[in-house]
Amino acid sequence: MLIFSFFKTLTDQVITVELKNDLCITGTLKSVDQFLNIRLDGIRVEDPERHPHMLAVKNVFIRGSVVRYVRMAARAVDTTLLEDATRREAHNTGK
Amino acid sequence: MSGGFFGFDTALPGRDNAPSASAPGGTVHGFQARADADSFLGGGGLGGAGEEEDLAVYNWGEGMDTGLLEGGDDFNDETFGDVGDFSQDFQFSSQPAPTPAYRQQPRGPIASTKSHFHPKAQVDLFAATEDDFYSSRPSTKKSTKQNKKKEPEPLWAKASPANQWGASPVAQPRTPTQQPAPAARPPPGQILSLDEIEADLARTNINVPTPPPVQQQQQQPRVLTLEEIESQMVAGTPPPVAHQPPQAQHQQHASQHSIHVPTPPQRNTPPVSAGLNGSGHSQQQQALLDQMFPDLGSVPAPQQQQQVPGGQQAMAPSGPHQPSPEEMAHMEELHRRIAGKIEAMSKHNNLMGNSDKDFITRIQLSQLATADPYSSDFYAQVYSALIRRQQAADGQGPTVVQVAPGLGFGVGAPTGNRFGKMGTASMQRLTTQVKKLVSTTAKRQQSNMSNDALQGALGRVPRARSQVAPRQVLAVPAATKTKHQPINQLNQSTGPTRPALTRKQVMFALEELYDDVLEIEQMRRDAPPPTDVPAVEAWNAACVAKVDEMWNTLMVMEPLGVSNPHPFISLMNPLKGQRLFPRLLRHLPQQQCLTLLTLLIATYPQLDVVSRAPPPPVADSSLLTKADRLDRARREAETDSFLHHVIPGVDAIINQCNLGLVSGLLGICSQRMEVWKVGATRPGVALFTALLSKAQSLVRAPQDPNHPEAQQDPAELEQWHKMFDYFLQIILPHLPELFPSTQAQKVAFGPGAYLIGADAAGANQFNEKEGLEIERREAEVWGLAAALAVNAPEDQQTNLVAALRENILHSVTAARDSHTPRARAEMKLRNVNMFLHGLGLDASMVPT
Repeated sequence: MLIFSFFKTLTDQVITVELKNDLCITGTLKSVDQFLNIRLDGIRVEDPERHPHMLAVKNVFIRGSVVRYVRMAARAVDTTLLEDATRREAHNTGK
Repeated sequence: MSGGFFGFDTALPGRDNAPSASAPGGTVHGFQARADADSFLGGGGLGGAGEEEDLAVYNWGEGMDTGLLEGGDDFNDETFGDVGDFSQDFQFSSQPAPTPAYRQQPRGPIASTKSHFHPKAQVDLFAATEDDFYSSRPSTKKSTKQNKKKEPEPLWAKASPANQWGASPVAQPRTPTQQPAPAARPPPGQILSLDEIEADLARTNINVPTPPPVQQQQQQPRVLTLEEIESQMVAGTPPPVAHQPPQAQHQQHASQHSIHVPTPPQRNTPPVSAGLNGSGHSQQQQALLDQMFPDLGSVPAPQQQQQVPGGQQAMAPSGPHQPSPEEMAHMEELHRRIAGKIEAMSKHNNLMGNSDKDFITRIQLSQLATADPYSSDFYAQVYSALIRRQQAADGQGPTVVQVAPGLGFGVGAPTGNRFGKMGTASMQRLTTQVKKLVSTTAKRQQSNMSNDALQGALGRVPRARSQVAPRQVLAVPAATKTKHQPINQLNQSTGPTRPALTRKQVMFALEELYDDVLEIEQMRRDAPPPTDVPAVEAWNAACVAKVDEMWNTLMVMEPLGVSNPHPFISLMNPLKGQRLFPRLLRHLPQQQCLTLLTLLIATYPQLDVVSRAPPPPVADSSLLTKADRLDRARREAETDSFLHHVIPGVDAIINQCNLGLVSGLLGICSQRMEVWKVGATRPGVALFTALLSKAQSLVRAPQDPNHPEAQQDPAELEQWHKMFDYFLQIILPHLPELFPSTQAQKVAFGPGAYLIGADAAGANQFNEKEGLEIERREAEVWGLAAALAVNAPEDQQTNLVAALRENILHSVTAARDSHTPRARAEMKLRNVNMFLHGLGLDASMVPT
């Protein structure tokens, strides 16, 4: 839930999702669910030459399990808060 | 299937047939085509076609081989659609389509536009893909073309495996969809004749280039023998006039067939298109469809519209007079792929209705519900709260949706109210629905999910709490969870002293502290309403208890000399502890804060940032080893962190002190530490400056008649002056050594020392940025000197100036040196003035 909670704060921000098949999709995060499925809007594909089939796609729904990385702006993350959230999570599940 | 024989290769009509006989193998297409065609002819019940067809089939196949072998197929893609998209095992069945079908049709009455209309079958065929379209426009189904299409259908369905895969049925109905498209202009519901349709088509495609000779070939009214066709091609004579205007016919071809067969379009269209469906083909239709039904809007419009003109142009077999056919082909290819992709995807459009989506959303939401929504959504909750505070934006929506007492889920997001669109009514409805879902699942789980039931259970076991707490693979019973209490338990060695905390102990203690702080912060957030007195009291008590627990963990009350470093100092040494410091202070009552400050000052020299302060910078950092450099960097980072996190808290506490306390603290400083050593570190300078400036502001505080108690007790004043004199007396001889430039000069040796000393603290030796950084650090010490100056009595002020004379002169001359960068010179002057102004002097008074 921590990561889900974290990604929720990224909604309406531009992120880059790198899939496990090396496809990198940049777009505005519209929503994320507890499986970390990601919905992106206004997408742009890195290296469109290699992925011409993505040219026509404007928005995507990415299954969470195929995501390798999500790149985001550093300022979008409150590291201290994230540390605290991690502690809370550990605390709660440890109980 | 290139069809070289049929002359689509416009540039070389005559050559097409020449090498045909010698074609050896041909592609899979060719083989398949022939083989299938044979089988068709044999078993397909096309008896009437007889010998003629056999002949034609063979010729056709050979012609095709030829086309593949010779080089004239460059524009086939443009002409026929994206051949590359035909997968071979997919196409083989449809290859033979043109031949038998077109043979068959001219003979029967099938071609009549009025016969064999099977709307029902048509609808079924469409159901999978264009459901909405056809249900919304039933009139278009009554197009004339479909009748013909229906006829060969059973035959195909049996003959080709592709049909069973659903390839043909999908493709076949699409052909009519393109055909009736023009009919949409006249009022729907009226059956048009083919002529009308085609005329309409022609109208919509005026920009199509005039068809080259090949087109004329297709305008022959009826089937010709192969010889006739060949002779016509060679001669280049226009064939007999067709029924339609050439452009219309061309358009029909371009859009309808990927293969052109020299037959009248009215007759041969259906089977051919049925067999030759491909991505390019259907994309053409889609383009047309969009052209005709802009109001449908089922497919993203812009791409479609972009694609239409390109497709038409490229479809026109007019390669020779196109400026750059390769580019065209490439563009066409691109457009086709895009459109094909859209087409392929569009068949999944609207699979789920809104209610379906809502249902799924609710199920998902029900899985999100947890017992402690705030906790599991902690990051988003706090983050959004912070963001909201930053933006000072009110309009707070609920961030936690309670679905049941003790159950809920967080919807925190920086954008605030996510339910804004839906409104509160919808949100309540949603809440009740989710609540119902949650309660039913909970009930079900409770009924069959006790721990006993799980034991030995095989197969699928419903999970307790969905995603929140997935059942662990190994359920190892946690025996007695030992609470890590490194501090008291591990250090219970008897005696007045004990070894310092190990790093591990420190880390455990810090984590414990973090947990405590988090809990306290959470408790403060959950403050009960002030009206509920008993709840407030209980809450207060809980908070106090928690703070006490934290206080104990901090180990401030341990005896001063219990270990070196003191346990509390051990906690403040790592970055983690330093970051925690300001948050700790927030929760401590003032008395405890003061105790903490006293302890901190008394044990200040034990701090890593003081005892292991980063060494002064060296003139040439390349002399350092890598480990050395790393160590320096780490120590610098620690110092920075200490100044950033701890010192502000210390300042805050000092600011609450009265003069007696300040002088007491200064006394501790002078007695317990080697002031000159501590003062040579940045944390030390910061501490002394804070103490001195607070004292100064207290001594010089304006007499406030309203607060007589704010007036300084003469005894306290007296004590302060004594303390300060003592302090000054200790630090004065060492004052010049506190400056970083002096320190750098001192540790440097050899040419480095010369450089640093000669060039006014090495202005050229360090680069611009480092120079500014040094000036900033110098400013800290100048600030301390200024604080000393304003506190010092007059006779001591001259001593101060005398002690700092060298430094003042150095700085002023360096600032006036034209070689010194402007920014740095300004900083130097400002630094010196900070001190001199405290004495009522100015750097401009310094003689050059």
